Amino acid sequence: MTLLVLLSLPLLGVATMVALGARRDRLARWVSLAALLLDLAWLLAAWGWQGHFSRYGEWRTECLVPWIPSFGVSLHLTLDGLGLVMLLLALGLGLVAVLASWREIERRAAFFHCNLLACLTGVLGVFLARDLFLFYTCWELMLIPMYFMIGVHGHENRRVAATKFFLFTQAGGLLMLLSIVGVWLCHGQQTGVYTFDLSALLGTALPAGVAPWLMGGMLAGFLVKLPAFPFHAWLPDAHTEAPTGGSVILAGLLLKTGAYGLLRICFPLFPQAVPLLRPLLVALAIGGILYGALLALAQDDFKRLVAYSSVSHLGYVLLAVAVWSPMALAGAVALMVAHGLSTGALFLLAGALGRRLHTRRLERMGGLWDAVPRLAGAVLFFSLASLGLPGLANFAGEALILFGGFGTHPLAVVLGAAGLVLAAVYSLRLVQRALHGPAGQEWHLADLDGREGGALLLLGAASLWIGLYPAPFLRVIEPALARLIQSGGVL
Amino acid sequence: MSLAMLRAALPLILCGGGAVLLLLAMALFRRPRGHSLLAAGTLLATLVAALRVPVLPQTGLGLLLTWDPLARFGLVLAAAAGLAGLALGGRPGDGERDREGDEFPLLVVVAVFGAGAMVCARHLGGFFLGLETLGAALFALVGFPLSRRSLEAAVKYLVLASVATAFFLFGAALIFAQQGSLLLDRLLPAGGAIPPLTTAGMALVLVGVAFKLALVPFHLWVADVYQGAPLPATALVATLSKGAAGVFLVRLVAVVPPAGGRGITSALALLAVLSMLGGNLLALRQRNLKRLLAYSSIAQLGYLMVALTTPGPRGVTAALLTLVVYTVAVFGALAVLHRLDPGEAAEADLESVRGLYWRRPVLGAVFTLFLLSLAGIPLTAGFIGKWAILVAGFARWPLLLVLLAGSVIGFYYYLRVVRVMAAEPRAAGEEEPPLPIRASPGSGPALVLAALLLLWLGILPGAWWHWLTRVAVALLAGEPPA
Repeated sequence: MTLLVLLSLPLLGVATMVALGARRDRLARWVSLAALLLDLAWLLAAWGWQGHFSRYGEWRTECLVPWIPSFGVSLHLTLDGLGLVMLLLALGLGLVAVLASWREIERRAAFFHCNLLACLTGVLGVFLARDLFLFYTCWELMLIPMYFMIGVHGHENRRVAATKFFLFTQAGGLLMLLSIVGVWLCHGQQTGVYTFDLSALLGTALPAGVAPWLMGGMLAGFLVKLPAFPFHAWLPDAHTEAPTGGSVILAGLLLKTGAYGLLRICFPLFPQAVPLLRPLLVALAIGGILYGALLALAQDDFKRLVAYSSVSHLGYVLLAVAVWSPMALAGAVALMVAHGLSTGALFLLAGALGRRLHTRRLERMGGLWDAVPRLAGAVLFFSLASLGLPGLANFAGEALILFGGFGTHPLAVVLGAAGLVLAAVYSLRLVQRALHGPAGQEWHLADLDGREGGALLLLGAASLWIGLYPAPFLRVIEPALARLIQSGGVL
Repeated sequence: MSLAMLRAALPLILCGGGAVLLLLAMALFRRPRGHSLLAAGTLLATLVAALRVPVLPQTGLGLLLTWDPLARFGLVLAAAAGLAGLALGGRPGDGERDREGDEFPLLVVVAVFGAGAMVCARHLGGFFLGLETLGAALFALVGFPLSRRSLEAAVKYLVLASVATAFFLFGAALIFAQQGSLLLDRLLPAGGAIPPLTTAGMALVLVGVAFKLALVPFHLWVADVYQGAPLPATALVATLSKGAAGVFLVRLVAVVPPAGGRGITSALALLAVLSMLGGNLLALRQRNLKRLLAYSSIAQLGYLMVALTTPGPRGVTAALLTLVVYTVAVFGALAVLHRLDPGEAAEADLESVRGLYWRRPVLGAVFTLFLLSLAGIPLTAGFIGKWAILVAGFARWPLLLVLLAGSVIGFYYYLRVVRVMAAEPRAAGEEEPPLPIRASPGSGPALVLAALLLLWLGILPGAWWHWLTRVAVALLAGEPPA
């Protein structure tokens, strides 16, 4: 019940906006803000309600409502430590996106905020769903609102970017659907019970010839979303052309749903097929790390640079998942959160700069440190986070991944560490081009205002906390990861 | 004729009797609205009778027809499609187009009667009679009210439908020459090799049916007829004609013994691949919405063929479900086009929906719902249909991969329509000129019903699934002997 409310609060926000009538464009951002704050409060209350945080059963909270009994579909929502962390990230970044769009979205604001809330509902559903039919429904539900956000409110090249985003993700999603159907059929033929419930489907003995193909189909869906190296073509355009709030959600959350799906669903469902596909995944991961970093080096557009850096960072997450050791998985989750925080902040800053300078090109920037010291300081802070400075969250994640992987895949870890060097280069290049050096022109700009500053403070504080004192964070996710390792890949 | 047979024939009798009554009424009184109501009443009575009249066990309804669960499903679908088309036709408007509404309701009832015969047929002759009745009625509906465009469409429809019927007849003749019977379960020999004459005959029969379903490469008529015919006629061609032919094909595939079935399923697989790819690729460049819907229906029926390539109740259930889903979605889309532009002055160009989200938000939202259902997004009926096809056809995974590829191509043009709807309207701030012809009064409720049905099927498909599975199982359990 609590989890159903959690999912429905953003939709209630959408309904409110529709009901508002002519004043909806002016009030839209407030409704959004209120809906997300309420949802966040509800989540924290739901988590804390069970008493002091301590050992619990498999799920902190669970909700099971039959939906389509003849197919074996139910509204099965579950919350554990991993889910909590992802939901906090989702709602936090949702708030940041609303704050970032405060001034930027004026025309058709209600439409934008409805899409934002609908997209967030899909994301929340993906993180909560325990039933594969429900998971797929929420997966698809994220796509159309994001398509509208990019296509209606984006920048110059938005049509192509939105269409590419949709078609790539949809193609992957359809292959994933094929795999889900395959697993459903196999389980049903063996046990006579046709169900989509993940808890029931784990441990299905799949025929040896079929399992790698089914896993491949599911991988296709998640790797396109992640995005893994050869399937990343949609990402730079989508991130660059999206409005600021859209970029924050896209980079901070949608990409994480791909990684989450790998962790929660793909690897645990096909333990026998994992050893076959592991080398391929490690290779793709390293390819992504290095390719993304090299391309980021060549970028002149602020947002495009951050987009390619996302490809690079998520390569580390893919590496960690492929390795599937406890330390690496903890690092993966930490990096997912950290990347969400740092990339969200960087896109917010890109939007802030874009609004002030009317350009995203690094060539036109320069000397911003004197003109807008607070904004420049934030850019420096989050660039350092992005390159993995110890003390900030990204380092915690990357370090755990590299340490966790060294035992089994030393070569991959060495190459991954080389990627860290490249990360430093492109991050510092960004800082140097944008902030240092002679000013591109006489800047008379407004510095960060309260809203932008507040959002950045929130993100920075979270990053520092996880970076300096990651123990509580790791303690929260540890039981969930332990269970995943148990059910998942054979090492 | 025994009492039981008479009772089983009641739905068809009501439909045909209603047509005769309508003829008399037209001759005696001139009250277009009254005639529309009489027609609607006839179709409603047929629908209710079809749902209530029990199935006829074992014996057929004479030589040509039968009354089994599949026939019931088909007649319900046909009557519903007829009512929907009637709702779009409406009363005459006051515009330049000469809209004498009298013949329209009569032709719709006759068309439904023909479709009813097609779905109840257990004999190639019965199917043929229904086919011709439906074809004659639709030909008149397509060409009427008269204009250059609709006449062109009508002539194209007449010529190509006649060619299709000729193929069908020739095939039936060949089969009769070899097998000595035209009953569906006697068309192919029970075991052993199939004589070449029968194979040729069967192929020609399939060609005839494929013409009606507008599968590639027999699809050349569909875009021009959809575009040229007035919207109510387009809706009937899309839903009634294809639905009836689809039900007949399901019966044919289910009833044929497995030995001969392999040839048929290979043929269907080929038609499926060609239609899925051809229909979607042809739709890519379309800027006229009616043509776009025509080509997308080719693809939708291609998906349906995939469901029929595997034997067993799952395939039949999936096919029937897809028929329902497709009917509702296509009707809905056409109804939206009708409400957008009842006089069809703008000829359903893509530009006519520019900025629809801001000009007429509810209509835009509903149109998006129907397009997403055709595309197969979860929570719409189209997704359930697609899922059912994936489950049914899972063993033939190459076909499924083609289906996925076709779906992705389909998304491209569906998204283009959605994008144009979300764009800014042409003349910002200008009031829309009042439409010269008002939309048919029945179209609004029909649209709402279609949207609700779509959501119901998409979110809670359980009841439908049970019904259609029972129909499939009953069909496969055996046809009544002669």
